Amino acid sequence: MPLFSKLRNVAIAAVAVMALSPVAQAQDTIKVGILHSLSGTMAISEVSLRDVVMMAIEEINAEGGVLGKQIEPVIVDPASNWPLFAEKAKQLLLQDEVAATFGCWTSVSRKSVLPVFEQHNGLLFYPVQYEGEECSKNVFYTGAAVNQQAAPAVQYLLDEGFTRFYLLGTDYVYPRTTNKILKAMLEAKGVSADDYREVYTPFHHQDYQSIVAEIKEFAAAGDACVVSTVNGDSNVPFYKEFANQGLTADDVPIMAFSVAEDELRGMDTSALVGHLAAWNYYQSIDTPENNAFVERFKAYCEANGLPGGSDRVTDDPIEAAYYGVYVWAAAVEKAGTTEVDAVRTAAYGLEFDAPGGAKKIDEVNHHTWKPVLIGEFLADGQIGIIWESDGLVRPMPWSHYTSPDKDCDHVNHGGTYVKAD
Amino acid sequence: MIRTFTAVVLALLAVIVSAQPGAEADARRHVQALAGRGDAQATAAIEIAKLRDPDANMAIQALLDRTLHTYLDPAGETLPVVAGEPREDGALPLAHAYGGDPLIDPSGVQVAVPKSALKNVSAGRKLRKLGRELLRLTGDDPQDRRSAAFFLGRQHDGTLMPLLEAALEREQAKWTRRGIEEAIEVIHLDSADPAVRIKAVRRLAVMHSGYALSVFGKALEAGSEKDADVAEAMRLAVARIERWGIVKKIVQTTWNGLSLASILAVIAVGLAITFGLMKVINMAHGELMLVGAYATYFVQVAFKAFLPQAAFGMYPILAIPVAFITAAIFGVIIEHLIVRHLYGRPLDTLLATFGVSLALQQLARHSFGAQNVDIASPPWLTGGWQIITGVVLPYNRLYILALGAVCILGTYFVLLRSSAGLRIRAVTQNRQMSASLGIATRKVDRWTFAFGSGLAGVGGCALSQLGNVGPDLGQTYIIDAFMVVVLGGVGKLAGVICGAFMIGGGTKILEGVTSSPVAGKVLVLVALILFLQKNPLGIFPDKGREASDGDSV
Repeated sequence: MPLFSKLRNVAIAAVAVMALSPVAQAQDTIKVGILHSLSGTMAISEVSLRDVVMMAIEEINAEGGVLGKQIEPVIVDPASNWPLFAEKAKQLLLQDEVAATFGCWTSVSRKSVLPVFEQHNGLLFYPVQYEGEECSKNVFYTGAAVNQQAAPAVQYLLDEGFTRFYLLGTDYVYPRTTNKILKAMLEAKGVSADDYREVYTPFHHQDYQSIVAEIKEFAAAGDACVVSTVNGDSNVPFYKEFANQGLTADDVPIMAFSVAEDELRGMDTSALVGHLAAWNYYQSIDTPENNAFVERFKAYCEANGLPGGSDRVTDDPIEAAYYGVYVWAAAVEKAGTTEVDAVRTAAYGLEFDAPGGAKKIDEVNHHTWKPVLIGEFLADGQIGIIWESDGLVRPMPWSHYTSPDKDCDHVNHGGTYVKAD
Repeated sequence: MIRTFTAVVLALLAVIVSAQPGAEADARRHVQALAGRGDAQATAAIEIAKLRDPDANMAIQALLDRTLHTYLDPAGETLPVVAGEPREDGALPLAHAYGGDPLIDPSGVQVAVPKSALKNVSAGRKLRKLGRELLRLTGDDPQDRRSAAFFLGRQHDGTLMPLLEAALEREQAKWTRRGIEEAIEVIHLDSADPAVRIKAVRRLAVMHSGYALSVFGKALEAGSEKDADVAEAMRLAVARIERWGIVKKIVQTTWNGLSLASILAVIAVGLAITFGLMKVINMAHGELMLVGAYATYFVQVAFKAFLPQAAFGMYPILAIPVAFITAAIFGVIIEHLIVRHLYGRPLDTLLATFGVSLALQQLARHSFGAQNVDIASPPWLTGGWQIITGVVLPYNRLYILALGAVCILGTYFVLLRSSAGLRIRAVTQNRQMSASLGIATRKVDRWTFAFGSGLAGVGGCALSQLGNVGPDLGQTYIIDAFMVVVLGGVGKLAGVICGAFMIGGGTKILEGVTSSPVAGKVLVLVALILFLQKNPLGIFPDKGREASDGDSV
């Protein structure tokens, strides 16, 4: 039976999408693009972002839209195919002439569309935590920079008394760049090269027995932890093997930067309980604003017949994608136009209330001020907060460990510049 | 009122029943100290742990939960108390830290005070960690007890010795005993007596302690061990543990290779039928595994919904035939709609089945969502069997090893020991001749394809115990499956086994040598290409007359 009800839901969703398609809409609208993979491997993460962006647009439209006009979403499916991201971005900018685009998950997809947005002066809201070392005037980064996630997480582990670090990641740009910064940080904190190790696995790696055996050996000297930038579907086999070989979160905790509540929906989470995560938002944030946001999202998914329905959860990128739309809308209202340069400038220093609490767009560097939250995986697939930063952390696209001479300032320096000491 | 009365009676009874009132007085004293400050807190925690008194342990637990407070009662006495959940008026009800009985005022009512009347007992990270490990050492889980012992040993704190010795005395589990013994010897390393130190070093060497290896290494490097005999013993110990490390590595790598080989065999055996025997380049093979994996998921869901909890553990067994049949049905449909029209046209089959593969993936995505579905391993498939120090054979991998053996044996019997197998072999070797002898070749084709597809389903069922079940599952394994079949020699069952062992073993050995899975994978591919350059037909090439137009098994 579930199959049939799901098929029916799919049909309803298709009708809903059609209803929102350009033909059925009134003429006086502002178009925005949604550039998330709806098929292929990244669909597992990106479909939820499409959903929450649609919800934000629906909410804003219900309140009267922006500049008195309704927002009209143009959804494209780059199908987890990096060159296709650039093609679809071009289509959104040139053919649909969207005022802004909400999209991308992987860094490689962002790198793929970056030249397009810069060439045609578009505006992209990018909602995922990333490795930094980038600062485009055509992108607003609503996810965390390394100094807002990875670096404080490692500092937390150092404070907890861990002295040995096993840096494990999937082999692509985000883990490699993040680990480069973390290694520089560990060296700066006096951790010797014997006491950390850096290992990468291919995408979709499933066989973690050798690695877990090696971690065991590494951890035998005591006070060891794993810092994981393992991505996507490799996580379940990794955590399962970890538990099956007799390692526990109490002895060797895994601090993960890429596992959030939404990915946990499809997991048997028993092997994860007690391990750690670092993000800037969790569904478990217990404030009336956040609880209402979570309820709205569940209700939205249920009402629109999306897979998962009321079992859906929110997480960090979902929150970041959601408030990205609001930041854009607020900047448009402030600028009085959707013209990209005006909107960009209007967004500088913009303070706003996100579901997880107050946040701010930086005055000069296109990134977002966020709190850092260390969490612990709970048996119900949620993440409980065990540590939080003192207020909002300023985003630094260039880490002072690896690029102490660089900074980013779009107001006074036109982007990335070399600091005169 | 009545409840309070009962509580008081029970408390009194407890006091009467308690055989050692002196021990209880001690416990209360230690709880009092635990609620104090400074180093005395850690000492008190250790003393409490020694008593193994659940009532006193409650105080440590409260410390961990941050509910342990001190309360200055009206009589001027400072009491260690546990604060409960705040009442409606905001006052916190109090209970004794020792035993958890409600704190009763003279009128017989439980004392509840505002937060400001309490002082939270502060506990730093170190103390909290110590408290947690002390509780775990007396806990129910042998693995918890073992890692707690490991932690306590690493504190190099002589006052922990009686605690560990008592724990060793009552410990039954073999590997936990080893862990506690190791912790005790680690503490002996700090003894003032060189003879004790030498003994400890030697014992740790015999235990192949990985922690001792790093301690000795550091001590030798820094020259902090002044006694020449002890230093010499340390050198010998380091050599011994390192030698053991090589043995361990060999055992571990052998097991890793064996396990990977069994996984490869399970996923490739079905392909050996459809691709090997029938020459159908079935790109949808991975998605047939996907069908098997989702079938397993539905069996699990059904077990959860309709059968008692106790039966849940059996679902992986029942899932095997269900996965086989479901995938076989999909196989029949694919064969009937597409493959049968394309026999003898490998390129067309490849493209058509690639289309089927994409369609099935997207069907899964639409029907069950892009998210993975949740497959919980039953208890008997979680955890592992420790064979030697540091080498654990996870149960789920042992299960797949057994399943792989069953699949291969089953296939062997079907193909070589049954009349159906005889017909399959006849048709694949010489279709015209078989037809003229009255074999319904179309029918044989269909059932052969279904059999191969069913085996793919069993492969998917096995994989569900290892990793994700989601729309991409098939894509992850399809290349490996083809690699095994091509390497082994198309159409050979023995080839599948050899191919699986060579790729599995090779991957794990190279991964171990380079200590990088990426490099391991690349090197295996290079080796495979070189091998196929030399032997284009694989390990078991077809020989003789049939080789040009047919196959043998």
